[in-house]
Amino acid sequence: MLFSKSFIKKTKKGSVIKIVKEHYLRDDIDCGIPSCSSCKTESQLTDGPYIIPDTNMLYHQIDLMEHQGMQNIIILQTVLQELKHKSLPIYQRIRNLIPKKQIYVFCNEHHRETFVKTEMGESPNDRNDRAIRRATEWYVAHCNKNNFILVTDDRDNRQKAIKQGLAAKSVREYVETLPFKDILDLVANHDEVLDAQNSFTYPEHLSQIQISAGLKSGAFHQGVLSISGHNFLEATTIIKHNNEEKTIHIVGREHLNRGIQGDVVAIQVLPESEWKSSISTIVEEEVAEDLNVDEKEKIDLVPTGKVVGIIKRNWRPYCGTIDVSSVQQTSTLSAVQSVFFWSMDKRIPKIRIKTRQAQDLVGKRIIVAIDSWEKNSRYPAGHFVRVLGEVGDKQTETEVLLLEHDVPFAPFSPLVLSFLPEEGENWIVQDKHLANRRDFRGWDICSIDPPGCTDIDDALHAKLLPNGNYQVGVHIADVSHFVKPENAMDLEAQRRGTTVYLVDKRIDMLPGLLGTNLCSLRSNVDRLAFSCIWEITPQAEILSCEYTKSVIRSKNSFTYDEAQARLDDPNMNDPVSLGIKALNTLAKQLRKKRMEAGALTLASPEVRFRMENDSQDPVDVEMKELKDTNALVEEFMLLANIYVAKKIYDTFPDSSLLRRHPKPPANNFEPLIKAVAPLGIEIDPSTSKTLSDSLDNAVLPSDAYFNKLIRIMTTRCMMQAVYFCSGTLSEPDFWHYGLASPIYTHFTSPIRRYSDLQVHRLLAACIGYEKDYSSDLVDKTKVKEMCDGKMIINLVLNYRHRMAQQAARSSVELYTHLFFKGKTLQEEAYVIRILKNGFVVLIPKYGVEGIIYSSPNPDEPAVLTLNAEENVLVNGNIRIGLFNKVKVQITVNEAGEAGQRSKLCLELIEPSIKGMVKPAESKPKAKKQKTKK
Amino acid sequence: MSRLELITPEGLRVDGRRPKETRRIYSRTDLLAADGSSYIEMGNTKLITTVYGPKESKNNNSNSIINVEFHLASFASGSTAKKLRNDKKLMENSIAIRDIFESVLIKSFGRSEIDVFIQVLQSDGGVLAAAINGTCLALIDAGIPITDYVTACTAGYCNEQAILDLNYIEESSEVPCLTVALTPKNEKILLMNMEHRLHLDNFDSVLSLAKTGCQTIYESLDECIRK
Amino acid sequence: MISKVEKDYISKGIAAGIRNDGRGPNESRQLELETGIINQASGSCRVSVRGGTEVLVGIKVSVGDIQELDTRDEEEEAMKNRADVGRIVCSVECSPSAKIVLDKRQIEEMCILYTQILNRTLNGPQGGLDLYKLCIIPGSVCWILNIDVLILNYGGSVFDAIFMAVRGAIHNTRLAKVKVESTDGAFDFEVEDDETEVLEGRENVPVAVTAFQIDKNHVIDAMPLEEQCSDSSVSVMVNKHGKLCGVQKGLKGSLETSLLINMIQHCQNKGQEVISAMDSFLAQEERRIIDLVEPVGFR
Repeated sequence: MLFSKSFIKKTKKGSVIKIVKEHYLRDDIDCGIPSCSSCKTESQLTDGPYIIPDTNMLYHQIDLMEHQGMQNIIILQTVLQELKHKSLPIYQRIRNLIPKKQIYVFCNEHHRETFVKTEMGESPNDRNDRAIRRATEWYVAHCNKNNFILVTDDRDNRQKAIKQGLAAKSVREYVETLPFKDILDLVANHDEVLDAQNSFTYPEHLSQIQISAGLKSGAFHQGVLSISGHNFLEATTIIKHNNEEKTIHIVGREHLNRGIQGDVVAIQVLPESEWKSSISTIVEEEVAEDLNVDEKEKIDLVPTGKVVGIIKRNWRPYCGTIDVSSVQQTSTLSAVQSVFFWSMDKRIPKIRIKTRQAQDLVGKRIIVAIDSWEKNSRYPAGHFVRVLGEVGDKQTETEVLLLEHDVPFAPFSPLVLSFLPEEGENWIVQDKHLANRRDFRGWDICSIDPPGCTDIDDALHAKLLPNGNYQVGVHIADVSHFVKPENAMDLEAQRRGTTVYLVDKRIDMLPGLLGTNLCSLRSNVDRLAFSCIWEITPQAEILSCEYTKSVIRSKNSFTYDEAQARLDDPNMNDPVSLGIKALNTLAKQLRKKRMEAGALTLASPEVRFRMENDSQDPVDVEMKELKDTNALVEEFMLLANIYVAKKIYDTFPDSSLLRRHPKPPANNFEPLIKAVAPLGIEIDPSTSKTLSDSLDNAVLPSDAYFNKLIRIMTTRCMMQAVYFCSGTLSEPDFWHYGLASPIYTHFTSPIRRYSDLQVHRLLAACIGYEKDYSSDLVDKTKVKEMCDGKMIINLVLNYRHRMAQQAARSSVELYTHLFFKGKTLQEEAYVIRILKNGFVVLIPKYGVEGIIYSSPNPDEPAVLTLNAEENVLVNGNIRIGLFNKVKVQITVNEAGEAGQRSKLCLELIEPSIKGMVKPAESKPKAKKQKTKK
Repeated sequence: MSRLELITPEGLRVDGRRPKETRRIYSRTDLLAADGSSYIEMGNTKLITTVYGPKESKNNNSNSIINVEFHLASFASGSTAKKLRNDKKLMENSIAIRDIFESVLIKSFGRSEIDVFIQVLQSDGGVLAAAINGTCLALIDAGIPITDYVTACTAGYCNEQAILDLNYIEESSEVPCLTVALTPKNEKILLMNMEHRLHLDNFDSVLSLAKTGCQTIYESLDECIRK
Repeated sequence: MISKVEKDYISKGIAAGIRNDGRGPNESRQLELETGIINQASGSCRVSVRGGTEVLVGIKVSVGDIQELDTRDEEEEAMKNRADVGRIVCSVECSPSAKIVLDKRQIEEMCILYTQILNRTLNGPQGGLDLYKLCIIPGSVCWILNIDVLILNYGGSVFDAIFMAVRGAIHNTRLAKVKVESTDGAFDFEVEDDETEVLEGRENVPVAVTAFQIDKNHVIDAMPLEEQCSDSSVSVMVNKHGKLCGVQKGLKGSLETSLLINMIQHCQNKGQEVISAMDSFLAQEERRIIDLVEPVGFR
């Protein structure tokens, strides 16, 4: 039987086309019920009542569907198709669920008896509902039993079904019949729960058609909402206006109009008379009233706008805790309560959820997903997903930060592990591996790494040639030999993007067998490598470069200290030590050349924790120090990266994976330049060379730390370095500002970065080692997608890189707080930022930042007042401005019921101002909460 | 944004067929007042073929020559783009058809030519295959002796399976599409055309599926002729 | 080509009121009409006249800018100034499979001529269709009807068949409903999934009746032989209300005024008959479509 389906579609370009499809009806589609005699298909269904959900149930209640209590589900083809159109991610999740649970997909659209043709004047929704009812009816007749329940929240649909004699329930009604205690919590909220003050309304969002009309005419702009970390009622978004990017600020609850961090929104720029000033206020967990900008303070106006409509929501499950003050102490423990949830991510507003386990969830980290944000609800509504663990517990907190940064950390699946070499630990280099490789096993190669390093990516050597020049080699672990493109292990590595380094853990990109053993260039064992060999004059002029696959046998794996010892000791004259010395001399000259070209030496306040031997608690903190050997390794890694970049770009100008660092816009530096001007220092950011020179001259004889501080501040003005595909940009854009290099890539760490693995494959194709490489390697679009893909955000290198960095920082923060727990310390600090109601300081010893408020007691008036023109905070004669040195007292506020995470609490000791310090005898109090429901 | 599932996990294609099924084929002959004519429908691809000849030709050729003209109606495709009469793809198709049928003609006529006009009314994938089938029918209808039927079919490879008789949606996604024309009795291949990339390992299964498809079509055409 | 003897034979016959196939000079041949056979088009119609003429018309609708017009045509220049109407673009093609009495150049000329006549007739109030309703967003976006005529077989009186088929196809065409929304003066639109709207004014679309003059008489619905006997012809486009929508004189000969007026009047009356016959046909078709019965098509 053949039908024809046709529908009209509007294409992206704005033209309208008619799509006509054939639609065949079949007789051979089975019902999937095990007891059915006529249908033979095996399915996972068991006996008992079956439910047939409709599309909205699958769409809204996805977390409920994943619960193990939901079984014996028949998903109709109609429902699945509608779901795919509504939301592809949720469709994928359902597809992933299907093999794991007792679900059967029934193709009712193509079954002769259940196909439903659209009647005249019937809307597609009505037709789909009718199809679902017809299918249910058919099932009842086919199996001669009425144990099929149609589950839908659409009252109309339910009534019609009941009239037809079918069993129909709403989601809640059905779930209540299930014997699971916690399952009812997972049911998502759709009923309008009006706030106590019903008068509150947000402006209506515009419809999609109105938004696209406005975008076309230029009345609106599209941008991604980026909420300020200091104040969740302030956001910025970058729009493209007249082909240049501008930052628009959005301030206030009403203007934010239910936009959430990460959403793609339509912005209307306000007229200039309503623009706000750029000095911002900090708002933390306390709920602030709609901020009243002081009308008199019209300085530094920045373009301001408001959200008129949402183009795409980018919600995800959030980790966090329940707001204790919203929990009611009731005697019946399982009564449903409406409570508030604070996300770890400070940029997300409070979420209202309904739960029966309110008491149990207090003090625990949980995951909550947002369902909707209606216009007359002050806060979004969501539902509970699952519990992670106790607040403050190190494991839980680590899991939380991994989830919040979207880091895949599940153990490698058996499928992935099946692609490891069969010999496993006993794998050795054999003769067959020598084909097309050069044998460097006799050479004096060594590696230099931090202590305790097990994944050794790189090794070096230097040899004096008869003609007086040096032969220098950089050997990188040959990971591409073990990880072949497109197999499960490769895909998983691509998904992870990079190894994530937390303080106490490492989430590997590749299985440990490779990362720490077979690929790692351990000493005294044969290993496969990819080598760059240069001939360099003693004056560090590079004469030639060749690339080859090789087999090496490293003689020593040094730590930085051990290598430094060899360097400093004039009596060590064995080939390896001589090699290190030669490398050092060359490195120094190479570095000098780079500095002259304008490479920047910046600084970060990072510290490293020294752990006590067995316990996992940090004992002391030490600053990372740079020795000669650090610089040596760095120099040659940079050289290798630059040369490889040139080589692959030469051969594959369209599809090379490179790395660039865009020049920061001049106005990023303005606040800094203004701040150091009174100290008599000039910063010139016009080129990296001038910037580098300015930084070298930015010294205060009175304060040795000052220069480092300036470098840290400069680092914050920089843009992010990103991966990109060479075919998408023109050559001038390849520039790496920080390194002052015209071209750059990542080549030297394939064990921990996927981009390096990709570059290895490209280089292998360049030198003709890999004869049949997949065309995907050189496909420009594939490479571009790998960097910044739009379709599958997870496979994105730049995203993963950023997330890994942030996760590492969060981990350090976690440990920092653990370190300060229970202690009260007083340390020196520098002021690095002035705000309206306080200032931010950096404590060099620990590399941490913190905020000191103008009014430490929220109920009392501010002790410090802002003098906006001079950008200082004053109290009487005392002035606090940028780069002033102060002394602060550090304590930690436990991550208790009040806050989401432990917080550093700072108080100003010097200069001593009355009212800024709490009396010494009282313990630091938890900040008072002014919560509003 | 959504990836079109060409074969759902339940084993059905976009239009509800299983991978190895062809679309519905309908054909008839003798609908116009020409020497030979045929109308063939393969799914939503519909076309009319008319044959005039053999007639006297102006050239001094020893064998019959066939002139093939392909014509696509302006309303034939999904978009409103007007197809130029000299569209290179159509010309390529004409040449292919000419080569096929000149080789199956029983070479008895000298200094003669046969005109074949193909008018596509609707195109929904497999146009060349349908045109070949239509021409075969029209030639038989015109009484021009040929050694055997020539049937053609398309096949492709998607989601680890070979699929038969691709429609427009399947052809326009990145599925390798193989068009095969052969004579059913001795399974000799007269035309083979392929777009996109197909791994050699999978080629065999696709080719044999296409051959099976051609046989199925042959049975259907034969039935029609004998009516 | 026709010989003198044959010509004589035919004209004598017509003077006596008899034609080759037994019809009277005012009788037209039996025809078959079917709509909705091309499902990829928004509207289609096939007219098949017993005796060989077969015409297939497909209408595809698209959305386009009001400004985009081929400015070489003067008439279209005039249309260009109207920023609130939709457009109709016609084109006539001859399938190579048509049994051609004329040679290639003549076919092309014929096609161009018919295209222009169709365009002229339909793109104005005389065409019957309410073009204002085809406008989506005044000043920027409108519906464009692309009417493509395909002559499958030539058996005389093709022009009449074309017009009939066009009328049938317009009757069969459905548009999708459009929802227009605006913000601050900027407009955008969305289309519904299904084509449900009929074209307004479709019952006012005219038909053409062509009379061929042979000596002192004229015949309607001429066969190819008769056409070759004739020196001049007049095509009259008349609509349901009896109003004249267009007149076109064809072929090379000259006509006396009185004969001309006679022919026009005859055609008008004939036109009314044709329209009422067509309308009953079309009503049947509508019923068939509502009943979801498949069209026979070419089967």
